Amino acid sequence: MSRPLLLAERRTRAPLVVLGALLLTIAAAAGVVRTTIADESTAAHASTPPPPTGPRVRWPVAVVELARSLPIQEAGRVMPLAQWARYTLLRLNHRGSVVDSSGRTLEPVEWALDVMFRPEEAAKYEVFLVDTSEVLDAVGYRHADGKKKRDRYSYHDLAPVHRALSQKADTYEGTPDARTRVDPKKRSPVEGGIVALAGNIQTFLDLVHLSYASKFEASLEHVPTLHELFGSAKSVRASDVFAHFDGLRDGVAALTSIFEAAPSLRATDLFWSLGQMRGADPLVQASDVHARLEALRERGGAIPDVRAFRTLALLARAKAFPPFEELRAAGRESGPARARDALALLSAMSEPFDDGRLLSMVPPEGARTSDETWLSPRTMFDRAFTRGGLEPGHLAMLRDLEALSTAAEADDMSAATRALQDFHGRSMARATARGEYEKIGLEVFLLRLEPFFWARLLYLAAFVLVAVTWLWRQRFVVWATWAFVSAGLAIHVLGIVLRCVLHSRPPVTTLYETTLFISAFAVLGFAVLERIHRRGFGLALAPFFGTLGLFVSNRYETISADDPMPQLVAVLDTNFWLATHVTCVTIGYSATLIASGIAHVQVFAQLFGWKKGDADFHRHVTKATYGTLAFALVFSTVGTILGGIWANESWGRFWGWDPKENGALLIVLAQLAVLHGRMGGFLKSQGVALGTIGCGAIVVFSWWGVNLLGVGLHSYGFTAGLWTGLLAFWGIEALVLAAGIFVKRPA
Amino acid sequence: MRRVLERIVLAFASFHLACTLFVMLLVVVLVGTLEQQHMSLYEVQRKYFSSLFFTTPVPFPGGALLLGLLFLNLTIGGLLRIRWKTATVGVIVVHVGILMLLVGGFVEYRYSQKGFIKLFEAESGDRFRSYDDWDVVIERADPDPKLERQWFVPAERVARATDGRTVRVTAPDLPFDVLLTGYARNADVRPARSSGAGIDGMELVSIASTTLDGEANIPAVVASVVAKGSGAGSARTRGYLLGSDRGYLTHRSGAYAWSAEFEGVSFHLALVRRSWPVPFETRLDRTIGEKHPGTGMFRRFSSFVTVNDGGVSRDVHITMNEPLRWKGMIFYQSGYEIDPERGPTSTFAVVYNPSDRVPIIACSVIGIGMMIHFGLRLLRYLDAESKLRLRRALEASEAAVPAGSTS
Repeated sequence: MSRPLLLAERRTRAPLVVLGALLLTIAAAAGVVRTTIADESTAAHASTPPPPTGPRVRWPVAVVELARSLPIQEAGRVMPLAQWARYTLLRLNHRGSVVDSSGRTLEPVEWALDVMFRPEEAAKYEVFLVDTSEVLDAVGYRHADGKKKRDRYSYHDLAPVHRALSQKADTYEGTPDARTRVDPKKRSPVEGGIVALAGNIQTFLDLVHLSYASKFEASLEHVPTLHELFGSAKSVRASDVFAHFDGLRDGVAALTSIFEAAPSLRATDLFWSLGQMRGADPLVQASDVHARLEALRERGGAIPDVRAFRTLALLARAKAFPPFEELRAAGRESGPARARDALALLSAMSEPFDDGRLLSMVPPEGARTSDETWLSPRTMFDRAFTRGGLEPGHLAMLRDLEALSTAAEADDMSAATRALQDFHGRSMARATARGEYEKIGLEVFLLRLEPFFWARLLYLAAFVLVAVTWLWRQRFVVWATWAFVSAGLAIHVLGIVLRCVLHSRPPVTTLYETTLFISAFAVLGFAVLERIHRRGFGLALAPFFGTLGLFVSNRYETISADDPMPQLVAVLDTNFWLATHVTCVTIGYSATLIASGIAHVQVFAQLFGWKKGDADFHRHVTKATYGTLAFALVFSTVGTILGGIWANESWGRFWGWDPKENGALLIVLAQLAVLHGRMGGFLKSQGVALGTIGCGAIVVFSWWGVNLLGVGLHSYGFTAGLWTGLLAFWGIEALVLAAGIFVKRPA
Repeated sequence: MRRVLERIVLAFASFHLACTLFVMLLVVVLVGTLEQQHMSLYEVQRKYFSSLFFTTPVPFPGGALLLGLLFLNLTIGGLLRIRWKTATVGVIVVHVGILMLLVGGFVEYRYSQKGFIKLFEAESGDRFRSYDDWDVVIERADPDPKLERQWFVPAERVARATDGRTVRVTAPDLPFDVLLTGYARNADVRPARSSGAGIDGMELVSIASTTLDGEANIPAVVASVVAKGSGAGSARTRGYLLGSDRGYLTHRSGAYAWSAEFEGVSFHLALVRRSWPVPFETRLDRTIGEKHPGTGMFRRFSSFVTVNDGGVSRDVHITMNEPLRWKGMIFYQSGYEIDPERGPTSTFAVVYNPSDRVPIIACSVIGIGMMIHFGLRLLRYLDAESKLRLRRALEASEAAVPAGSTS
């Protein structure tokens, strides 16, 4: 089995455990293990794809079904692979699907399977969205014909410039005190685009690397010293090595002897951890590290077990690094031939396992309370060292993955199905026993249901019907509008409820969820107002707000492209306050926006002469605006004070003038001003309407604008790039207010 | 005279004033929020929210003045002048709640004490330290303990030694005066950039403080020891007092108070964090920072402490959102970190706040009041609507009958 092609383009900041130099060091003297894995220099030349061999067999439905509900641990929780694949693909291409090289549409899980097990194919899919081609110009990309300014590229398209992109991204990201670093908030679109694209390519490669461990195979043909251990086997896979782990202990011992022979390597894990630092190039830091090593040696650092392998590889890579010579000298002298061969085998294996760090897909043994963290290939390898081998369950799962890799390589889909069935079965059994599988099915159901997509579609249809009623007012069209709005709301609310059940949280915990909740509440609110007033404006605005709200939520989800049900930081870990304060404030937002919506009807009616002479209509609009604003005031006020009480309970201050707190206060003050103005008699119907529109603009500031200020405890959402939309909104509202002030009012 | 008084009262009670105050507060809060992009929260709070007036670019009333006026407006207009009847019961209740909130806020602002206590595992503490109040302490060090004395310059006075102002510290039994100048809330003493600048080749550099609580700030002030009543020109000795948590630290000695010899007696000067006693002792037994599995994000911080109050011990678990309340003091879990040398440490925000429970009561009162008020209004509106609808239906049916009879 040959080394997958994509190895060559890994970024330098990844923990590059390249065995080449190490093997040369140790094996050159002994002429030992020749694994079939190419070293970096070979792989570096292999960045062009092999000639296409025609379309690959599609993953059978059974495999896709199993893969969807495969539990993995990501972002601090156990989720189905389908969820991870969905938001990851969204991050890369801003779409929920991808088209393969033969024009078939793949769902995210199919794409993830291809990337892992058929990377040569996946490298041809155009998954990398580049917002502006200037990003590629900046690294000297030679544009092919037919690409637009904003377009999608395949890994093969970008491979030639990947290294340049990574280097540029590293200089922008750098350590905070690095001179080249560009603050994320101050990055230009091109700089931001470079960082994002480099990150996306890295994610893609990490996913490719995930299956390296299951593809590992080493030939034993020329290694007689290990024949005794592995019998007649001509080659071994990772699972075989782990199964005979005890017999390779002398390899570990040989490693120890190398470290003992070279005392300055004792603290090389420090080097390792520095190499792991974001954006840090181990070579650049070598001189600094050397000084620190000396300091640490004096304190007598212990030799790390498994990290030593990676460290060796890192050192080997850093040929200029002084201890390397020491290592080479020590390697030549160390141990009998068998130990050396064992060491070479383990070192060779450390690399593909080390690369497999992206997903944790193997549940640990035992109860959740004793060990929460799932295993990735990398941590599996680490654990084998700390515990002297893999436990039987993990060994079986590794064998399943190996079988899956082999079958996928050979396009043997029935074998692939069997292998994935076995892996899924074992993973599910263990996750179920740990109480971590019960919600996987529901989450897959939610993903397949796509409630917010359907709700948006139904609202849109309802809005079209509303427009029809303006021209052709028939009772059945009105009823159909009601039916579409109700159906949209039902599936919208169902989506929110399912999310609450999955997350075991109240409906609103993140900025994304505010968009879902506020739009659902607005649709409900308008529907209720329509039932009370029966003047048509509620029914017209309900689908409008529903469509708009879900459009915003969809955009937000696409831009943030992260786990839609993220874990919460410590202070938010309280369902009581999330359910009371957050829900109240959010209802306040929604109700204010509803009131503002109705107030717009009033101003537009005057502007365009709608319902001229229908005093009853205008009376209802005014009453509805006032009533809803009063309702909003109750929730805004109580919600804001509850927020203060929460802060007081959490860290002993009721009010801290934090921007989000101030935003809430601004809403309350604006509402109080309007309602007191009305009570004082100096704001009449028009004044209340215009004041309410102002309140709506303030809600939008508090809801979105405050997050863009980038300060304060509450800035929980990534909302960069929204300024334009907000300014446009406020600009329009300013025009509406101006029109409302100067328009000729009805008698 | 009576009419003038009446008019003033009326003006204070008016809706106009209420609305003006709301709008002005809105402006202040908005500006104060936007300014947080450029200024620290502490500075914004002082400039806009707890001030009487501020200028950007025109003079404008500050938050404290507006809230004070709102208090008057609310009391006179919302409680005294309002007509007490069924329809206004809800409004009156709401106004009572808001008044409670304003009064509670004032009591907290004026009488609460806030600080922190940082403990390592197995460490005990019975004093909590201020975030931001640093007193200057002058100590007469004498071999004879009877002659030892201390003088304190409260933080409020020390902080006045800024913007070119000089604060003279003098006391009848202090044989000299100390002049304080150039106070900086967060500062560092660095080698002077130009020769001849600063004191002894060092200069004081003010650093923008980024946190509201200012726990991490290190203030500094220039102190000159002068003969009683004389000016800075006759200074016997000058130096920087740099605040430090590790006892008395100045740039000269490195670890201890800055010493000044005066007429054969040595005195120590230092800038120290103010601390207050807690009426019981707290020992940190164990602290835990739990992360979400596989991530670097903290899920929970919590501390197991033993509270020792007059020989009686009890175990308490303090965690985020679940503080310890005992003898009027409240301990909140506010920080957790692992010191590479000494292991895990918990920081507790310690608060003494007589009005701690006011917001929750006020919020309930306001909520109930609003529900009464708007509930009554909604009922009345729905009632009127249904009557209107009934009347229209009757009118319509009356109109429909003759139309039908003619066909």
